Amino acid sequence: MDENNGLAVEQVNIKLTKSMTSSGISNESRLAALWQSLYTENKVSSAQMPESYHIPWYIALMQASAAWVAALFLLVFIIAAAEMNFFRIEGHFIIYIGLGYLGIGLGLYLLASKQIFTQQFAFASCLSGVLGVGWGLYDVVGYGYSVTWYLTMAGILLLLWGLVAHGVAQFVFAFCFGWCLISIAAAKISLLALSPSVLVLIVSVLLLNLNWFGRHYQRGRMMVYAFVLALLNVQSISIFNIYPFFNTSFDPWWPMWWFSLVHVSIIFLIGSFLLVSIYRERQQSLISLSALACFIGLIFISGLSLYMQGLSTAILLILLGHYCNEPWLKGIGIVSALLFVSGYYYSLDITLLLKSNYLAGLGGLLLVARLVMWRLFPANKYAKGAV
Amino acid sequence: MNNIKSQIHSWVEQGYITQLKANELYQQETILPDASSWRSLIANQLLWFGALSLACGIIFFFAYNWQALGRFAKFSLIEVSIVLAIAAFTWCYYRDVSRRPHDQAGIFGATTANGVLMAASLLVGGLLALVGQTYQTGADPWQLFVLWALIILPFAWVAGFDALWLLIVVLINLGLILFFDVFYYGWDIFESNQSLVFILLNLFIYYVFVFMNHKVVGRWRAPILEYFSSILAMGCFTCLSIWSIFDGFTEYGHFGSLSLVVCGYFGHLIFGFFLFRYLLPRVYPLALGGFSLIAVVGAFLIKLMFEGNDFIGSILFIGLYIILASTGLSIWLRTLSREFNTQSMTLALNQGTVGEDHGRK
Repeated sequence: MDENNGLAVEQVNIKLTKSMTSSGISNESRLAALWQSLYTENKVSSAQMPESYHIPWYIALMQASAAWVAALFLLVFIIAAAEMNFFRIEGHFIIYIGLGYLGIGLGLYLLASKQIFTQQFAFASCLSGVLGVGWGLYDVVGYGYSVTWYLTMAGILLLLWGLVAHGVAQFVFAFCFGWCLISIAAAKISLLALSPSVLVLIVSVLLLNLNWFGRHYQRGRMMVYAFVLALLNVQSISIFNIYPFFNTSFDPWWPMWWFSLVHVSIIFLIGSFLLVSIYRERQQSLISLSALACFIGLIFISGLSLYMQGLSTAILLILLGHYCNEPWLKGIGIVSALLFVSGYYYSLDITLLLKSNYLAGLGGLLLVARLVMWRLFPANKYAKGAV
Repeated sequence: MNNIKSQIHSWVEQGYITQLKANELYQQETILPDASSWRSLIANQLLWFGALSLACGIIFFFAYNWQALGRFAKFSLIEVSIVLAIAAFTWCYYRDVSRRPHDQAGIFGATTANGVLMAASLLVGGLLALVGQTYQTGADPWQLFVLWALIILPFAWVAGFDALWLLIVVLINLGLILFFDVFYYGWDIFESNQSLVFILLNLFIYYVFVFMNHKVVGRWRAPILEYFSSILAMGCFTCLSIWSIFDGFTEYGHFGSLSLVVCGYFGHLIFGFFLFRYLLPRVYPLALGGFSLIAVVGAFLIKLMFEGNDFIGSILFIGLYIILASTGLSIWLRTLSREFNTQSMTLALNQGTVGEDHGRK
């Protein structure tokens, strides 16, 4: 009887799992199975899986926007109150106000319970603090963005990113930190053109090692996405020739060809490393026909990127996103590749006729490569599902 | 996949598991892409970038307006390209159908056939621009974009492809902006009549896709288009409502056209709430409407409070209102999201049971 009951329960479970998988709700069931396995191994004390704190991306985005607006109101409130009741506000005082807000925000993040309200208030307070310190420091250092300003802000943002355990906040602070680094490179060392290479390196190293980050997994992941966004911003500035906008703060050396060469070489090296890793994991020969074709493709894309800037970065993002199962990164890579190739239209170095020839030639070549690929590497019906 | 890793991260953060165990689980949950996955990625990239580069190359060629090539040759070149692309689409489409009749299309409907059709759609734009260039009617009048959208409408209908629908909607919006530019001396988001046309058009497109996708599952699924049209419509509606609050709503003291905008805005929010809360449960439109409402009410409070004496208190109040309102909304949306997930899980389970019973019979 018991055996029959057990079988019936098992059948219901199988049915449940099947229907969940078919309806795309397999994540919940997989998580439940994972938790059950941990419980049977005595790795966790409770059989009941804790509640999920996952929120969809659009709610996180809208929350972040609301926090920014609230932060501005909070900052203006304290400054207006002080100015109206006491004295004219000086830079030092605004820094103190900013530090006060930062203290409140960090206090709430570190000491209070993880409620949505606390997190939202703490995030708005930290943003007010960052804005306040930035504004005050701008006054104090003589109404200019100096290395001191960028370094101080970078330090504060890095500290916030490291201390706060709130995904949206980590992303925002990491993004601002990334821009502080870019600005330091651009404004004072005149190395804006080198920053994409450095960012690409950081992103790749972080992404390929995320599985070792333990409790800092989300922190690392947010930095990856923030730096990717900063990287694409910098490349867009170059491709669409919008850096005159930033002339007051940047002194770019874009025309120097060797920066492009360094960038393309770094991407080529990362791409090669990825390729070697994939072939080693699959225990396939690196002198096989497919490996050679991949290397030739990599060299071709690298060469092309010297003319169509950003293309190699976009392709690398697609490959990294695919390799590390990060669909958002892959999507960003695809969209940025389209954007960068379309930016080629605005390039003034060559005539439209030549561009047209290059593009049509490239298109034809890619289509032929696809046909050849179909013939050279036919689909293996019996291929294993996972490595 | 990363949803699972994020959940593992939340377990380690809450102290349920150790860091070492978390790292072990991250490794365990990392499924590296297999050979067929890499193969399809490379094949798709080659096809899409190849087809789009070729189409762009041909369009750039006509944009250059090469005088050495005669009219007849130019028209022949682009028309032959379009015919070849459509023939390639037909061949790919029927080949895919015969090989995998019940197979689902890739993500967002990105199949080989659709890639070729996308290139054909771009070439149609090139042909229209060539007509404008040759007969001196201009290469970017509003009629060109609207006509382009109308011509490729059957393509999108046949393919049911998200990116192609998006191209059509972008072209229609672009045509409308150019139309206003010609007849109203420029496009102005705060001009109520112009904005209302945009809002109504994009809302209409959004609701058509929502309802049709509900009726014919899969055929009308166009998530990118839905995001695009809903954000455009609600963004314009929110801006216009905020503008009416500051500009005309209380200035004239009568029920003018701007007041009607605000009434229409609230009417639409109520309609959307009942639709997406009870009839077609969805979290995203509720989130969009909710955050838009927070912005409009915030603007109304600013207008009311800044007219009073307590300026400083008002700033603090509005700051706190935004935090409280966005928090409350997020909590409600999370609860709804969980409720909708449970509903769809139950539905899927029932469908699975019914399906199995049918199979047995």
